[in-house]
Amino acid sequence: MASTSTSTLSRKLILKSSDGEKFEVDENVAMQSQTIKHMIEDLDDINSPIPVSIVTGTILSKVIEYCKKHATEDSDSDEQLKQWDKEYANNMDLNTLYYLLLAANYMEIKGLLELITQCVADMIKGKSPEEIRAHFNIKNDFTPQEEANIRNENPWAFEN
Amino acid sequence: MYYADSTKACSAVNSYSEKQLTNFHIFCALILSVLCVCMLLEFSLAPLLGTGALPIGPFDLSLLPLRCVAGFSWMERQLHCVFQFEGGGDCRPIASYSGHSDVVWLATSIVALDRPHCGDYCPNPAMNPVMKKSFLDRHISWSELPKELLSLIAKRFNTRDDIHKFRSICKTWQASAPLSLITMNSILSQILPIQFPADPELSSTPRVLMASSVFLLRSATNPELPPYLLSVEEFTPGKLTVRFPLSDNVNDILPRGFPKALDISQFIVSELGTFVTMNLIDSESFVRTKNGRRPTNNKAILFMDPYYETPLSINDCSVVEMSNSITLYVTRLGTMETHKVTFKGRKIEDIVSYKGRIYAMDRTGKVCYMDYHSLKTISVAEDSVCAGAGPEGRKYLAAATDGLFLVYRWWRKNRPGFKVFKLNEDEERWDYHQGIGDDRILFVNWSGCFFASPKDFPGWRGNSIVFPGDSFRPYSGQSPDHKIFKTQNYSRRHDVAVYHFDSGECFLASSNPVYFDVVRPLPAWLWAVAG
Repeated sequence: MASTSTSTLSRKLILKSSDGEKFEVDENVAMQSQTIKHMIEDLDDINSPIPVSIVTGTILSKVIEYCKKHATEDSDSDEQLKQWDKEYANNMDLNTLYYLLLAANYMEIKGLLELITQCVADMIKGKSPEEIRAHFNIKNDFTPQEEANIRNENPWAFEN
Repeated sequence: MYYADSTKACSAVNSYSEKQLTNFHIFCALILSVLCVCMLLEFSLAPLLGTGALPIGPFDLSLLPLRCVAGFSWMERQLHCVFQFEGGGDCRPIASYSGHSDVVWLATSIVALDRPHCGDYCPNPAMNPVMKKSFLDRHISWSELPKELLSLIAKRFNTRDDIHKFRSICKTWQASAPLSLITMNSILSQILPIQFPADPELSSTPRVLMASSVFLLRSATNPELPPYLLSVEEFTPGKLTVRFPLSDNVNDILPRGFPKALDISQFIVSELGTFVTMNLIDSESFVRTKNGRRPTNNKAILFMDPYYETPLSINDCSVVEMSNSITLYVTRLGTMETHKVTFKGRKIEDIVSYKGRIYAMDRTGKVCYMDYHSLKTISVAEDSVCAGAGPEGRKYLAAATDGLFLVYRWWRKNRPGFKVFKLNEDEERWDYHQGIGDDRILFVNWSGCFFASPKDFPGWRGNSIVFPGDSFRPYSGQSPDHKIFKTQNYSRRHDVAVYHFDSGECFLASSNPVYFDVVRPLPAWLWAVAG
């Protein structure tokens, strides 16, 4: 994998996905993940692949794409980076988002976790509960009585 | 034939305590793997989905296209080994290990049975193609997401309604967003209302900055009913006050029978616009002062740091207020520190929040913006699109997703019309537009203009403007609008008018039921549906 940052002489690490795919990345890219950061500290041999046990190659490549973007020290302004984040998240299908969320949590990548949770929250906004259930493939498991109780949790009270 | 991924389980790392997996835990995981495999050995086993590993955490095994399943999961702070037959319903733990609650996340390894020799099982051939699909094709249910992640999503919401909606989806989601998230919140805004002390320059009495919103309510049960445009403000946290449609004035003539509370679950609610209003309050009683309320020059805009980290906090917000002078007042809500901003000595006609900045315009169309932190005004267009005097009407800025619009009323031979310009930031000028496009309707509201889609307004036409009386008062002389509104005194008239760019027609909403049903003062179906 080509390095996007040429200014730093970064060590290379090999990440190994759950399905055995290997990715060579710059150390500063991988260090975006707190989990990997802690693993590296305890690593004897820097050349041995670091297992990212629950993340498949497909997802790991997306995670690395994010980490690379956020590890480079080029001149992207905050605004450009936000825009990139937005496009990155919008290009994901729902299943990918799901596994990215799990991966970001497991790998402890704060920025990615925030990005994905915000992206999912934005999908929920402006949808009716039925639309949300259909979109996220969720079965309504409330009894009619439970539903009535929930409804009463949030009336609009008026004071005119 | 079988695939029990105990090595992967062992190589999993701990994500929370930042300690390495201890030998003891590896040992326990191994024991469980072996136990699990032993139970399955009499069956023919096949790898699942080619990966052998699924995400950690509780998941609904019944969704997997498997006839028989075993694996590890980390549920309720315990390691479970589960085993399930197709159609058997619940996952049944066959072993569990309660280790250190914060010690380890284990990779889940799944072992699938190709052909179980148990019971009177009848294979379902329809399932086979599913098994060949990759895990990314599986239709995942988001109720399977671990609660801690669902909680993180729930915390991204700023309003009570969103949190409430989140809780109403399913039991897992409900459990991930505690009720306290709702009750501690105001209805319209997470941070408002806020009280401002008296200020020698701005106001001799204390003021309250409150949130207001325009909602479109549709009956959730009866799609035949027309939608209703409800304008509300929130002066007391948790209580709404109804305004006249597209007005800043409180509706003090509510129809009889209007309920004290509305069961909002009976509606499909869309928030078309959110605004803020600065309201004077009596320094003794802290009641809203009616007459000192909202002189038309004190339009206020909530200005949020575009790079704030959710959840939104008061430290990420400022309020920008227009005044009678050339000064804009920007108050950081966290510290209550006020900054004065001017734009080349020009009197500001309108302000709007757009692309994370505040855009301000004088009455001839010269426009500048300021960034959240610097508050320095930077000229965007020195292009005057009009004289800014005489019979021209007041000008408004309206932010759309595709650009910033300037709109004002003009009269030619007393025939009403509108002029619309779109900001061309590259060329630093306003481009004239014939209309706003068939796919939108512009609502003019003193607190702020907003666009909506004609799709949400059955029978309404796009490329049109909806505006309340007196909203386009000319700089001098009388407004020919009195012919449309049939009054010079707008204080008791709360009609809105509609203008179609295509036909040039301009008419009162009350003259056309298709329009009036949506913007009339409170139709009874609202509380018949949800009283």
